[in-house]
Amino acid sequence: MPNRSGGALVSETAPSPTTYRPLYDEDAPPAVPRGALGKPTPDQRFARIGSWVAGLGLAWLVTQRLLPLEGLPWFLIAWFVLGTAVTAVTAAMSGGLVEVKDQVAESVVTGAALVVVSAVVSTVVFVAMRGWRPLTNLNFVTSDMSGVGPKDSFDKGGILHAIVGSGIELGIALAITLPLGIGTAVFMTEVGGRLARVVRTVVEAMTALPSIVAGLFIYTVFIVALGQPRSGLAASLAIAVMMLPIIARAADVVLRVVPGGLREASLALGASRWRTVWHVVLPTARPGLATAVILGVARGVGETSPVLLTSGAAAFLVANPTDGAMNSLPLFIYTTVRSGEPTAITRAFAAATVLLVLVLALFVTARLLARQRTGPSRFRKGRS
Amino acid sequence: MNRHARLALALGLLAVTVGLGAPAHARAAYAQIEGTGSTWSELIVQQWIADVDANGMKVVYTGGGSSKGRKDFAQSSTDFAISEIPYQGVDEQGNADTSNGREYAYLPIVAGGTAFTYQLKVGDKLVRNLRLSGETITKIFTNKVTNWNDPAITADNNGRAFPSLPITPVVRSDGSGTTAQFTTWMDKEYPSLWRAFYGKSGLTSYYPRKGRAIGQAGSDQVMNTIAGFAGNGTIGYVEYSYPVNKDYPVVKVLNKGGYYVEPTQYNVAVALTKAKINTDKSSPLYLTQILDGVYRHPDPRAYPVSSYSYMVIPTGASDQRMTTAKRQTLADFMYYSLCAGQTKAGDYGYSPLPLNLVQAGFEQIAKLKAADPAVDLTRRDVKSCNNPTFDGKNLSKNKLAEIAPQPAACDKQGEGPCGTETGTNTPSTDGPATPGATGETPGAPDTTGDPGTAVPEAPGGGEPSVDPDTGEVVTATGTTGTQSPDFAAPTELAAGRPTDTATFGWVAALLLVALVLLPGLLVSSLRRRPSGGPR
Repeated sequence: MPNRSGGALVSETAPSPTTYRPLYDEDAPPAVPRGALGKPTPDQRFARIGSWVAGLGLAWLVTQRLLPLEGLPWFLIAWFVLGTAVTAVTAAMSGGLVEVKDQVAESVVTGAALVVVSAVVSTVVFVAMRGWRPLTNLNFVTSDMSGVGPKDSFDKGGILHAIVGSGIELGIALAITLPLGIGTAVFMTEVGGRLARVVRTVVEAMTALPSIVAGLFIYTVFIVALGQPRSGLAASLAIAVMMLPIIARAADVVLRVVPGGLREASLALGASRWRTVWHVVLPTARPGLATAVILGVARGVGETSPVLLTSGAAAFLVANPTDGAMNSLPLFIYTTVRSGEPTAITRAFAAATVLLVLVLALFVTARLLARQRTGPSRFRKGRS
Repeated sequence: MNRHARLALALGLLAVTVGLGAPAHARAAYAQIEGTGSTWSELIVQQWIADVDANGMKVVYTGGGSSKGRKDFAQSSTDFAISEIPYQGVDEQGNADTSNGREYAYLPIVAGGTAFTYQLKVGDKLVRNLRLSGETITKIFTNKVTNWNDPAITADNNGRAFPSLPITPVVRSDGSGTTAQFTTWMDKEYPSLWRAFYGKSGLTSYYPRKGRAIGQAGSDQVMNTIAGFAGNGTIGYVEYSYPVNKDYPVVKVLNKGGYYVEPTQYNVAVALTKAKINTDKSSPLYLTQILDGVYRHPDPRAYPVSSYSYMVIPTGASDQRMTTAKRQTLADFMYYSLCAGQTKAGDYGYSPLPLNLVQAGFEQIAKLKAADPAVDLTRRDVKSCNNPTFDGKNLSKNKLAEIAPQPAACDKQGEGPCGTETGTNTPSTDGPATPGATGETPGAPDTTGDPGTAVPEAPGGGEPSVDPDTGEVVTATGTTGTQSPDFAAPTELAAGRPTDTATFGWVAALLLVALVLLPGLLVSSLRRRPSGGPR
């Protein structure tokens, strides 16, 4: 507003030659086509790939011919270090210090990412390679180990009892932790106050609870003090101790991002706090809560030490969680892989493959549920 | 809609895993029994559990260690425990190690030798026939002998020298029955060496790690460390099945009969015929093993570091966990284990129990009937026992002495050493490789036997070798066991210092890298100089 009036004032008092303001045509292409940022020219690409090939050759010479550093790990480390060095030198030859820093930073970051990816991939590949043979027999997932000795071939026996045991134990653990965990999260976010802060600290501390302590806790309380037998129920209690903080914490994070406006609107419409939580907050956060639960399950399904102390490894199918020893997947893997008997160890790796696939399926489900939350919402659309 | 479908999918996954239950079936006479304890004997126990499953016996055994087994039993949370060592009264940490007043009996279940496995390479070739005396082994594990070229080791191998390489003992870092068995033997046989090292007398479940020794948790990890990439020069103690499964050699240990023997099933069984059981009721070690006779058994076949593990069974009449059905299950399970079950011990690297220990076992089983008269023990005695080491129908006949093969002559002290490989679960003998004409060892070891294992008398057993110098075909000499294969003799070059190669290697590598990188750096610095001026 003041600008416009000022401009009018100037034009009236001083009839100076017309000034041309620089025009900026947004639609016009730039006069000279610039190389796309971050996209290397063939020259640069040649220098980059060539440097790594040179690093490869150097690493081979240094580790395999000159120094007594045999083995793949040393070779890979040497390749990375020498490749980075050669890249830095070639960058220095064609550009300045900035290019050198850029190249070195890029290779270090890429290397770190590759290390993480290769750790995951090699775990899966290693386990699957050592354990694929029993998996080719259908009986591996349809029968149990009763009457099957450690040396028996793979067309006998399977891990049905372990899968069923894991399922039952997780089911009970989930039945305990689902209301407790989400209830805790609701308390922390909706009720608040000083006590909620204490609870939040305790929950966060519990996330770091070593799983063997959870097992010992149930062992001393449930089995020794109460005199209950080792059973699937005791194992699920121990797993529940492990799962509870995970679910409570993840659910807390999810509930906290529910927009405050929704709560306020609900309260302003006259709903009670309870109705607000039940009909507004929880439904809004439902996919996130499902993710929290699945993360908890994925944690619980792989826990070995709590079940090791509390359940006992039965070789046969047990369907009743209160009826004595019950096996589960991690316990089966643990007890079998340490036996030193090659056939049994292969069986354990096959069971580990099944467990990996199970956990992977759970995580994919969690990702799908999580994506659905942000996918079609208006926030995502506006941002991109 | 889609969201619900995915949620349903997630729940469906769970439901499928939960819903696949089927009712467990058990016969009326038996009840499920549970036990925990030794990982040492876990494999054979799992095999027995698999075998008795067909009879309707449901037995659950979870490893976790002897100490855990004794503790669980003391807390009455199990029906039996398996342990290599008895209740100690007070353990190393000063905690109580008792049964908490629960009445119990010790029952021998399976025997085995503590094997010493090693990785030692002469010119990239694994040594597979190392022999050591008990004293040398004790000195190695008490850091008195620290190099493979030690004269004591050379003397044990009848003059065969090994390269200069530091010895790295690999011991168990966790509390372990194997450690207890090994240290018991050292404490009994070489107290001056062991007690000076340990600082006190007696056995320990936790090996005192000093010097170069590496600690590893679990026999499997000890074995993996020794067999591993950087394992050259290591030696460790594990149960015999681990080196056999890993195809790794074990040390032949010198016995009082003057022979170097491997812990094969029969060598251990022969040694254990001298095992005694403490029958002094006032002793805190009542009913436990007295193995002094085993360590000093003069039989040339006896493996000195032999012992057995116990099952701890509840014998109280008013035991809170036990019922008639459970006692019956326990008794029948033990009957199978002590008798027919022992035939499978050899395959797993264990050893069948000899007559004296089986008889002791039956005396303990009888206590279950004493506690509960309803337990049926008819026709379950030594007479009907189908144990491979004795004939139940004729107990005076020493079947074990007939079937256990005599050691090869080249295994004698001052002879050999034999060229046969160890750690193959086959006996080193001059006689026929298959022990016992009765064929009572299923999956006889000779099927896995290397055809080249030197059995000099057998036609075609030893391959003719060509003398590298003369080109003549060297045939095995006629006399038994004197065939001694050519071993690569390690040669130490006076000028060959390993630190030199490493140093010059590094220098060469540095020069190479400098050669490649420096021109580039030079170019870049030359290129930058004119542009750098005006700035």
